[in-house]
Amino acid sequence: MNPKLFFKFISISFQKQVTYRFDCFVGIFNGLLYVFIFTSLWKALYSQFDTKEHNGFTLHAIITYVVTVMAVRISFTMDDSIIYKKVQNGSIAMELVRPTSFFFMNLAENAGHSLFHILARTCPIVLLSAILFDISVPFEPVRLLAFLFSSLIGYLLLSMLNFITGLLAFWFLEIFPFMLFKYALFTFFAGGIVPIDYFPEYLKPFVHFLPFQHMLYSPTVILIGHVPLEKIQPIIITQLAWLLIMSVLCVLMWNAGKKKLIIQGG
Amino acid sequence: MQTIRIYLALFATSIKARMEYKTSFLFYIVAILTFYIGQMGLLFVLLNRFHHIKGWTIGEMAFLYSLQAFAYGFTNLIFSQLIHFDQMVVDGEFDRALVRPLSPLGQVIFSKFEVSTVAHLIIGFIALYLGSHLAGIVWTLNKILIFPVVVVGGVLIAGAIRLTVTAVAFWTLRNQSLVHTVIFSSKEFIVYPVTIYNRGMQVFLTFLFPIAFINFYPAHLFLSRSGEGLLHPALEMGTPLVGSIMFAVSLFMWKAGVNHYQSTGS
Repeated sequence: MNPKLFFKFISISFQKQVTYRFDCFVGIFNGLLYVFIFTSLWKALYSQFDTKEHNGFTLHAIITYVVTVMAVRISFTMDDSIIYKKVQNGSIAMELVRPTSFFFMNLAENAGHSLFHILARTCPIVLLSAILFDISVPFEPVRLLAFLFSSLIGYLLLSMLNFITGLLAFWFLEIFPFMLFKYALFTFFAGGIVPIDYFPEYLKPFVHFLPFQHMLYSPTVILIGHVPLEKIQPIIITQLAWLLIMSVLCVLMWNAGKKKLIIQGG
Repeated sequence: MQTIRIYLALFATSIKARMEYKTSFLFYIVAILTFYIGQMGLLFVLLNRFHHIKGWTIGEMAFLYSLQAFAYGFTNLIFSQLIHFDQMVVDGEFDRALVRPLSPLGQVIFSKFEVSTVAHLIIGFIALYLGSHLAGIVWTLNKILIFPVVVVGGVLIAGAIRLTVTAVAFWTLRNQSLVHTVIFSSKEFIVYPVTIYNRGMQVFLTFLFPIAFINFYPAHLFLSRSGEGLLHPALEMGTPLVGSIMFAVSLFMWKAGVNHYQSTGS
């Protein structure tokens, strides 16, 4: 896809978001609410023991994790019902005749959405949290670069997951249950609330076998310094492997879906 | 008598409409169940590691969760249509309700029943069983009689919050993000015992936005926790009273909204 066109779509999608100013303030408030609930929870949990460290996290480190992972999660927010709506109202037909790749169009739309979230939500929430809570992130240029790269892959993985879920609309009338199901798996396994280190040992091999941790947990632990520098490379390689698997799935689903598609005249 | 019969007819129609797609309906229930099991799973992961949260063991946490599930389950059943009320106002659909010889609120409420309540009730009963079993609750006749009263009180509190925030739509028209923050995100507060928050937040959740009465305060009665960690022991009896007051206030807000209402002309 032509990069110029790609960025044009990002900018259009971004501008669409700017129109809802009130929503934006409520969004910041909403994010802070979650940060407050989870920092309170961890403070309460850590205050119960004399030991200062649990599963490799001090209280200071876990608070940093909670705020960072929330920031990543909010930045990654995208409208995952776009494809479903397009199938429902028939405008998907337009996408089929366009000379551009549907996946990249969708990605551009998501990216505009997320870019807006980063500026209007993530930044104020991180700023306010940095004032309210004791958080610190090690400043190492290599780490920072690795984080940016890892989040980019994480973001692509999440949009692919959403893409695949959205395409189910070709086969099913109602895909809300699938989205809820996806959301449940994501909440539990991506480490957005409880880092994977805290999971019981018998669950860990299973969790490591799933792609979800590479969407939130991996970039976050890289940024906050929870993994040593030399461990970053294997993490990113695993992420890339998942990226390959998910791309193949996306292509397969899209090709099968196109054949299945019946436009209901709409 | 005639009025009640009309409401019942509306009720039956809305249930029939929802049951039209049986597999979709079942799948929907399973998806919601998965979502809540995921949420409880994370609690289990934490408690597996830390054994208790501010003195609340896994059984007591399960009981806390069950009161919340019952209250929100029945609230969804009755007040679900309110979530999309701003749409009804924007589309002019609410105008129709105003010209009919039935209460506008009654028509809005009875126009749709959320059958996903089934999932809430299943979760509620599982959590109640686990809670009673693990926390060793002795079900005296007194407690059995008080339980439904507490649930009704909780429904009144959660319903009043929905009604109030919906009434805001009369002034602002679109308020989806506000509705979602106040109704859904705030629910997250009372998954945990309110004692994990600082004093200011405890006061807020008790007197200003009193969702702590939905599960935290009445749970003390059933778990025989004899007032420990409470702002005042008398609060554990407060749920029905707080619910009635809040509901009366929210009805007043709704009436004020209806009087203020001017059609959007769509």
